[in-house]
Amino acid sequence: MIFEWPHLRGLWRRVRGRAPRILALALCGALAGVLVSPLTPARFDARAVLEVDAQAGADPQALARQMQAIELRLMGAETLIGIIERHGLFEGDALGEAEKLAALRGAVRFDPIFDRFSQTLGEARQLVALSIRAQSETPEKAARIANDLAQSALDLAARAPTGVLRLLPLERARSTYAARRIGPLGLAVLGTLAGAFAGFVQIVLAYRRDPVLRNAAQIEQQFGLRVLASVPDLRKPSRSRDLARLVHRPLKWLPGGRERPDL
Amino acid sequence: MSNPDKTTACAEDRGKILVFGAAADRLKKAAEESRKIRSVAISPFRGGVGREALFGTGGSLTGGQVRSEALWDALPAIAFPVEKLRANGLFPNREHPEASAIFDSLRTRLSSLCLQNGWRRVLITSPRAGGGKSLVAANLALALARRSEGRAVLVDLALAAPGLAGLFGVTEASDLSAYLFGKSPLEQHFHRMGPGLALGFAGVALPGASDHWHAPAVRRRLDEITLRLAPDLTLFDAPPLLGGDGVIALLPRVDAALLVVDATRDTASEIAASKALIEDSCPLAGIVLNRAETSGVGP
Repeated sequence: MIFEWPHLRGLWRRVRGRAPRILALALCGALAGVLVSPLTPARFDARAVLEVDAQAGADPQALARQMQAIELRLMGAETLIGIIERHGLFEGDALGEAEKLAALRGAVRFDPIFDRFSQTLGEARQLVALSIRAQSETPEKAARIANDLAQSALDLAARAPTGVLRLLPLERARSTYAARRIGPLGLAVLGTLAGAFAGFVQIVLAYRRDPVLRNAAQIEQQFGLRVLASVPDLRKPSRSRDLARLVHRPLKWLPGGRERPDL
Repeated sequence: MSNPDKTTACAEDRGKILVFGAAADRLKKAAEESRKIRSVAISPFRGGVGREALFGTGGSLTGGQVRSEALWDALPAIAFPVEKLRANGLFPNREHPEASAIFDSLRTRLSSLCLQNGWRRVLITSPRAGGGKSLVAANLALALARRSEGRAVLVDLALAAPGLAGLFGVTEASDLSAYLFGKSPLEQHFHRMGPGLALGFAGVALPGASDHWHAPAVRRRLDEITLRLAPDLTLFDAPPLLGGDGVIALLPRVDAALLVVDATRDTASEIAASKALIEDSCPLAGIVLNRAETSGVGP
């Protein structure tokens, strides 16, 4: 097993010994994050909220069925194609109709909002609102899509023959939401973490292939060599010495950099 | 008048000096020992010495031994603060019996191997830098110095990144390369610690030191250390094996090598590569497992 304690210690020393490699990979990751940042499209979020006004004593199952029917209609091709045409979505993109529909469906989300207080009183959960989220490349488009969907939902509820619920506009989507985009700094951080992780994984894999022989019996068994002595770690721990090593290690790669004393 | 049967007449220098009886026996013995020393001087070191040359005859001193005595006396004596040594992981005395016992045992096992095989010069190296070879070499030398008799020499040949001087807390060590390249005499570069240990520190790092190990001058100087100081055992603290060709050039100049393996870092493949490199040139005396989970002698 690689993760026994002595192996873990050996692994930790290996990681420390290969720290420059991990740092180099982390640096490459950070650089890649910064370079990739302008290429990632910005995504903006907008949300419209509708109040759900259910009739007193309405059957919860009938209520759920009506909500489901409205959601299905909203996500139906007819509604979505109407939205695409009205707002000029995907203009200039070489996408087929099916691809446009799939992209729009992926950019829209319906979240039911339930009454928290009824639950604390021991009653069944009551649907009180419906949140409609939309994503697009500009805040204005995102708001228009969300509001359009909200209006469609209002229309569908009003036209429903079994009107067990009524939808009322509660909050219109606005175009003032912040961009949901990872900035250069965030991508640099992600790249750093990814690079460091890749370096760590590479060291772990190399360690598994070529492990440290940690006791005399293993050495004698594998190489048939006599171990004359096993010496424990004799030096008193010194933070200043460790720090000096840490500083010295990268310096020795510089032109004229001197190797640290080899003990 | 002495009995002519019991008298051994030995004519030396065309009969000018006549020596009789026991005095003649001693002279013969001294002449034989002197020849042995001379044969050591002109022959390669590898496997060329016997028990007497290693551990003395117990008899009268030869001319070479008298000269080495004088040289040992001439070496500047140096004393180190025990606390400083202890802080650097060195154990000059038995105040820490567990640690000193490990190196005493190592000393005894290594001495026994040297005695069996006629080794006098042992190189101490490790697969990679930072494996603890200088620490082991220094503690082994200190253990050799703790013997009631016998002498040992420890030389820092890790010239690219010397570490022994720092371990002993010596801040102003001389440039050992000046001695190795024949620019200054041995007495200027070696120190005596007590009666039984001579230390050759390298105070100046010499990048690219491995380029010089092939030079005949260096080879002669390495031979001179053993000849003039005449120690039982000379330990060479050498550069790491896998970092360059420095040790490979040094290995043919020693009788055996001791490999210090870092139990928390050196891998199976690195040990295998080091073993192969050493055994191409000289016997591998054994392994010292440093930073081991369990301490002691042997597995």
